[in-house]
Amino acid sequence: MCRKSRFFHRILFKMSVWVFLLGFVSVLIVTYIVKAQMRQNIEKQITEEMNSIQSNCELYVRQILLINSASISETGFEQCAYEIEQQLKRAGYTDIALYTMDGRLLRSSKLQRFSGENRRKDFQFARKLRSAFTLRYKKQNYCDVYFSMPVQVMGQQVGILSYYQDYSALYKREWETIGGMLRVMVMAFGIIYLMIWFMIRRMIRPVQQLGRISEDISDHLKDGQFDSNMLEKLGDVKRKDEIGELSRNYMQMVSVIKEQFEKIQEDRDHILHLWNSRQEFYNNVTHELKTPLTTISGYAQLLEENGLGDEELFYNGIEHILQESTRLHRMVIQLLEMQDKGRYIRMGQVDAAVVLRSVTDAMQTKAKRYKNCLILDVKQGDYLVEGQEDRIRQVLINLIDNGIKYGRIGGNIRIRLAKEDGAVQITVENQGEGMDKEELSHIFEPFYRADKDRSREMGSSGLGLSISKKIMEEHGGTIQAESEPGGYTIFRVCFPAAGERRD
Amino acid sequence: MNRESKKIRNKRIRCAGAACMLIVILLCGCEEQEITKTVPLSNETEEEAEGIDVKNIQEYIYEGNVIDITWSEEAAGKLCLIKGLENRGILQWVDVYQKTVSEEIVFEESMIGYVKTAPGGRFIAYEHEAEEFRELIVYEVESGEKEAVMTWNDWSTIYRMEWSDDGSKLLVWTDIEESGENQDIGGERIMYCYDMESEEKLSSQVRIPVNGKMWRGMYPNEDASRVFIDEEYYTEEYDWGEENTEFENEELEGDGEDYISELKAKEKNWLVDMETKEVREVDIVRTNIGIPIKYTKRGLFGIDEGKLWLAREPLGQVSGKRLLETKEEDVCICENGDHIFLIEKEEGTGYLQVTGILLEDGEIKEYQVLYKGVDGNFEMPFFKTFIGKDDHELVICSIEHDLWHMNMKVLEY
Repeated sequence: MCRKSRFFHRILFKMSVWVFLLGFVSVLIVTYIVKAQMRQNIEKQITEEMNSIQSNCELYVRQILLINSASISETGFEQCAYEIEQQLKRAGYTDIALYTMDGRLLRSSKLQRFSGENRRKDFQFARKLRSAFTLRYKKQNYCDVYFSMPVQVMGQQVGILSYYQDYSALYKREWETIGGMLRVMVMAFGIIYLMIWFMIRRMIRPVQQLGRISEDISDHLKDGQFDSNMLEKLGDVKRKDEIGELSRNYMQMVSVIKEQFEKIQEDRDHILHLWNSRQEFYNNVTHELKTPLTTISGYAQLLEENGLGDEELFYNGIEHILQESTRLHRMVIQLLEMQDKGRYIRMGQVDAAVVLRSVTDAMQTKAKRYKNCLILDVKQGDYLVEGQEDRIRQVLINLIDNGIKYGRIGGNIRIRLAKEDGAVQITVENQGEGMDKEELSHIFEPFYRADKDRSREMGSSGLGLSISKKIMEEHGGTIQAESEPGGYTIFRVCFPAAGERRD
Repeated sequence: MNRESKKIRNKRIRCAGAACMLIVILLCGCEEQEITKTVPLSNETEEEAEGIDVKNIQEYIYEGNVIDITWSEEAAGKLCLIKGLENRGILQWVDVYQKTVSEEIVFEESMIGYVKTAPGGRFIAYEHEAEEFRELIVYEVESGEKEAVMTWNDWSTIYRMEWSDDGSKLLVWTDIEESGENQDIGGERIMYCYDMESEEKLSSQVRIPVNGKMWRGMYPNEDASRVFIDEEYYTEEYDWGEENTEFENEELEGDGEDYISELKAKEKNWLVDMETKEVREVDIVRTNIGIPIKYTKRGLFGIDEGKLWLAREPLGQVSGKRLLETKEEDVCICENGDHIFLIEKEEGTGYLQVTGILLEDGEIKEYQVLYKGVDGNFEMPFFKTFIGKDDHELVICSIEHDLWHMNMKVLEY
């Protein structure tokens, strides 16, 4: 939507237009009503005045006829027309005309005013013995009245009297009054309009702010960000009205959305990570399976081509095929172990100290090969744990084997057994190249090798620690690693002591 | 655009169209327009007035210095007037209907001061100065005889004279004793009643205490059997604005409003029965007769605080009855008390306006404007209105602007 179009669709614009239109129409209606009322008032005033003029004129005509001893008849009226006119003039009725009952003009103070009287309705009324006045409103505040009345003296109709009066001054005065009133009204409307405009603006401003904030949040969402800092600009949360309530609700809604957004992002990252791990696991599995198969396949081909001709190659080939197939077999076994959910593992009480001593003794030979020394430190105590001895043994072998393989040559590998807070804790510590935090975070992933070349050389499949972690989870225990690059590496496994385990 | 949107759009267009039409109509209505409109007045036929119906109006301009005027019992529309010229008393009649003037009759060669013509014009009472004394003479018009009803030394005075409505009894308010001497009894004045149709002439005299310096008004009923007397202090002669004003009244001295209030409190009013000579004080607060107008057969009329009141029985316990609002310009009431004429200025124009009121059993039956004059000459020095012969005429006399001509109007009803 273009900017211009948006301006016309704004609430402020719409409401301003509506208020203006309503105000304008109200002013017009008031003007219309006041004008109608004014005309009604003028008519009422003129009607009262004409009633008074009628009774006065009849009185004057009667007086003149009596004073002049004229007959109370049309003839008397005709005879005294001059005196009547003079008397009425003296009484202030300057523009008059006297007629006989059949409409014949007897006297007129101003002829030009009383021409065409037969066309005037008031005169027609008077001829039908009814008094009436014709009111003419013209432009430039001009207003005049023709009044015609049948003159009745002592019950006798003696003639018709027409009277002209200019009411422009009255009309103008009324108009000026209305004009003044309208000016005041328009000014008042202007002030009220401005006040309403400011009020609407003040009311709408938070809504506009909310709109802008929503727009900003929406813009940032496109970039995968949820920027709620704009909410700080929302300054109407303290208001106690509906706007304040809306602002507060909006803020609350935004914070909930933000939480959800962050959670979704976290889940997405986790899913991505899982996806990558799976992919990496798949790649590792295929790679690890492919390597021994390639070796086996190569030696098998050589043996096929040379047969038993080359005895050394034969035995050497057989050995390699045997080694690689063993490794392949072990790897498959380990993969199967990883997939094993441990449903059918039969748990029993295992003395961790016995198992640890056994494993340490067994691993002494390999340690010597690496010129390492295994130092076992078992404190006196009860180290019974719930579990399967073989699986526990496998974990300990993995840890001590890793400690030997990745430890410094000629170094000591310290193995400790202790009981802390109801848990049996075994630590295997060696000195070597150590690992940084990034490496530490991945070491329990399948096929992860901190130093891949070295690991492979040492016949590592990269599944040992992930299998160990899996076993520990099966036993309700934990496995942790801490290390310092270029220094020590400690693996710590904790089993819940027998009777302490809670699944 | 779907159907719903089209509907909304069409609705909006219709609304906008209606609003535009309304605005256009209002704009057209508010614009100055040329309108011609005929308004018939309500056709209420005025009921035949049952009140005072003026049958004839006549006027006459008389030339001369008129000092007193009254109606003549000789004929309707005939007025009896007194002119004063170099101490001569001249009598003349004017027939307003016929527009004729009679011959002048010089009835006195050395007339001074006070002249009062009896209603109907049968008698003229006036002060006459002899060589060593003064006398009150009553001139009988028909016979041309004069009779001195009172004689006194020249430093005494007649304060007031009034004729009864039937024109036969003369009331005189004075400090002159019957012997002709000035009475020296402190605090008393004498009211004499002369019956001009009796042999004795002096029918009764009543002494009334004086309450300091004051004006006394006498309001006899139609045959002067009862007279209402009111007191009014000369408050208007004192100029409160001047410094160091010393009041002539020896007994009552004071300043401004307090002094007037004190004087007002001292005012007393009496009703005198001329036959029994009983003098009884009238409670003017109860009767509301502030300024007495006329003592009629219906009772005593008076004006108080801009309202006309009727006290049917001034001595009774019943308070006065308020009749109508009126300005204190001129009120003329017939001796029966059923015809009241208000002669006043018309509001707005200031012209003379005569309103006739018909009273029936003390209630206003009809109230109507009888006459409108286009001049305001009732403000002139001489302006007199009275009821004429047989209670069928209202006479309005006023001096014209040149102070030499008198306009006499007779409204026959």
